[in-house]
Amino acid sequence: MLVTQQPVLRRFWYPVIPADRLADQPVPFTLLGTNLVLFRDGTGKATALIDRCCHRTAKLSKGWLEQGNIVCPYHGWTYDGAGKCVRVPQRPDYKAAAEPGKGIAVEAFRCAERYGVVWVALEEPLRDIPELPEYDDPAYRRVFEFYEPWEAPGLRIMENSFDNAHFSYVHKESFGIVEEPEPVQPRLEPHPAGFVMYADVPVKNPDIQKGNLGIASDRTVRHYEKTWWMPFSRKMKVTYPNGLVHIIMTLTAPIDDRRSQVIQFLLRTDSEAEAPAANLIKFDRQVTHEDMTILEACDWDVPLSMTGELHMPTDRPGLEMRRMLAKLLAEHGEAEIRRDGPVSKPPSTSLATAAE
Amino acid sequence: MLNNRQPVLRRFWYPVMSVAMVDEGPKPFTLLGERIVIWKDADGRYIAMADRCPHRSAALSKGWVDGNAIVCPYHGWAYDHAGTCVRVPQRPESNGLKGQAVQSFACEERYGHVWVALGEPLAPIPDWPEETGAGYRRIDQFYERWNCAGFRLMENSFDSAHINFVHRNTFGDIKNPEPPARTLERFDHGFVSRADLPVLNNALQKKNLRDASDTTVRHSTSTWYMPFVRRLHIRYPSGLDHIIITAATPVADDACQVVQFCFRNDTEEQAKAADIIAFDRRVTEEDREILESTEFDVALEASANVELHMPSDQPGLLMRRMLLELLAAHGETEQTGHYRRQLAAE
Repeated sequence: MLVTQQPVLRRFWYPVIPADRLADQPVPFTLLGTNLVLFRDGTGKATALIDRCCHRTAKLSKGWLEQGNIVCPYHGWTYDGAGKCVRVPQRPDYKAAAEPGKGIAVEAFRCAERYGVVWVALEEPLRDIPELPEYDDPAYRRVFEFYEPWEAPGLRIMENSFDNAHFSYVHKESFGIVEEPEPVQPRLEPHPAGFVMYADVPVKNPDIQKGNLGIASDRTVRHYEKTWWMPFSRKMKVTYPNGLVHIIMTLTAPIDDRRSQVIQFLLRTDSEAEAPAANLIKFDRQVTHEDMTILEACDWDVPLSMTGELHMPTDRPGLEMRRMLAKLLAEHGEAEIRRDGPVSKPPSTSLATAAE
Repeated sequence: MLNNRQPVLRRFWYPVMSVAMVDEGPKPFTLLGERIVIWKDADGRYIAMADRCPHRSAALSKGWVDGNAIVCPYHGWAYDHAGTCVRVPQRPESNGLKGQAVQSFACEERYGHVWVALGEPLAPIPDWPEETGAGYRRIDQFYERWNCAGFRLMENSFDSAHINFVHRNTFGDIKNPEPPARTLERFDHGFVSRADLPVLNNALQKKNLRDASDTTVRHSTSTWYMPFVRRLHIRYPSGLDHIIITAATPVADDACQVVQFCFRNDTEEQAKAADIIAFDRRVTEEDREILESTEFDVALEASANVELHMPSDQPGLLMRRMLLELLAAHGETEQTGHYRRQLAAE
């Protein structure tokens, strides 16, 4: 599936930048192949406009901010957070149109701030940003981990997150048990955001994790509750036998057909004194680099149909994602677009049956 | 307009590289998507031809010059200035092949540069008398690839309104952004435009212009030579001439080769060439930063409604009109992605 060629994917909220990284400078961001400029308007509200001046097409992100308005670097035409042109310096008598949607303007997109992240939807969203009650729960502390582009599509990153069979191989240096490759079968349940998966997975507990978890044994068990936030984000809630909860939020935005921008942060029920953030980040970085190495080596054009790749029972969450995405496309009258063109048959909606 | 799809653009002269580059040996260049080789034969002729041996398609620019022939590096077939194969080493008894084997193109040396026209030229290479004029020197300034349409650089050159913003850190006054008036006079394949531009005079320029004041006025006479060459004649109040020739030689739809040199009526003792280049370098980098962020498929047809305009855009709008007239006069329509997008939207 080429994400830039599926208009319905424009109808979701995507996490584009950690909120504290959007300050007094405009920032360019490419979302589903659309060039955006992100900035804070005069009221401090996060704003996303098309990164193209309507005069001579120069990128507004190369300009600067003046009282929360963005100034085009080519001729100084100035736009407010709604995209309305408020100043044409060459015409001091210029007055911006009073009526919204009239006069000189560039396209503005829906932009929201939640969970310390700026979210953008290119078109009317089909659903809200999912709930994350732990974010405001005082029992949890927040640990920011990283913000970076990956050379992999969101669907690969999501499938990987819900795949119990890859631990023994991809993560054999960190927590996977290489001697026990037979995976735990996941249990899936419906969820408003996408689906939720449960699994209790035995893992290695290396020295760094003994400190991070306060668990001294060489092995432990992760009680997973992973929620897929359709289409390209996930909440991974891990409860350890000692009651510690470690939530990894992995929020990704599709840059184009091949690349994703990834934001990762933690919510934890322990304290900095018990487990320093630097050590948590160190271990999770090792794990995510292990994933990244493999995911960047996979084909970015992921098929939604059953054909094209082989499958096994632990692939079910990924196949369910493909089925639900195929259903979404079908409901919006879209054929799946692949590298070689549209898939001629409308996507089948009975993939789960085929998988079983 | 997508350059490569407008055959009439092949009928103009473009500077492609300095003679010094060609004197080192055959060099490749891509002009309007056409891969060519530039070389110099033993008689001193500069030659442009297709960069492709007709035997196994190897690039002749990877070969060498032997007397009055360029030798293909693959099997040694050799071609003269007209593109005739004069030697096939595997058949010593033959004297090459009959007829033209490799397409050759019009090629001239002017102003220390090699100029090429892929088709029958519609206009001559411009005459700039300063090349041989008493008291003038020529300074070669830039030779580099820009990732924007050549048209964008041409339009920018005649746009008084961009100076106060793009060049705010060099000579533009951002506090006084209202552009001065500009005249426009058409000729057959271009126009002349005059404007008096009040500008700031920074430290380096005080030295270069030998003028200590903080502001000065540029009396500028700019000439557009259709499609992608401009001459900017700046006369400072002291009588100093700074004449910049800039070509945005079209490489591809989205890239041009910038060839820039200048004429000055002062001496190296009065203003070092290195300092003059240094100032123009900063100015040029400022333009490049912005122009490389623009879309390359510039809509010539105003009805496409792709861009908005203001009065100071007149020169760029006249360029668009004149290019449309040129296309029409040669039976071409504008090739662009904009109408397709428009139709899709409807």
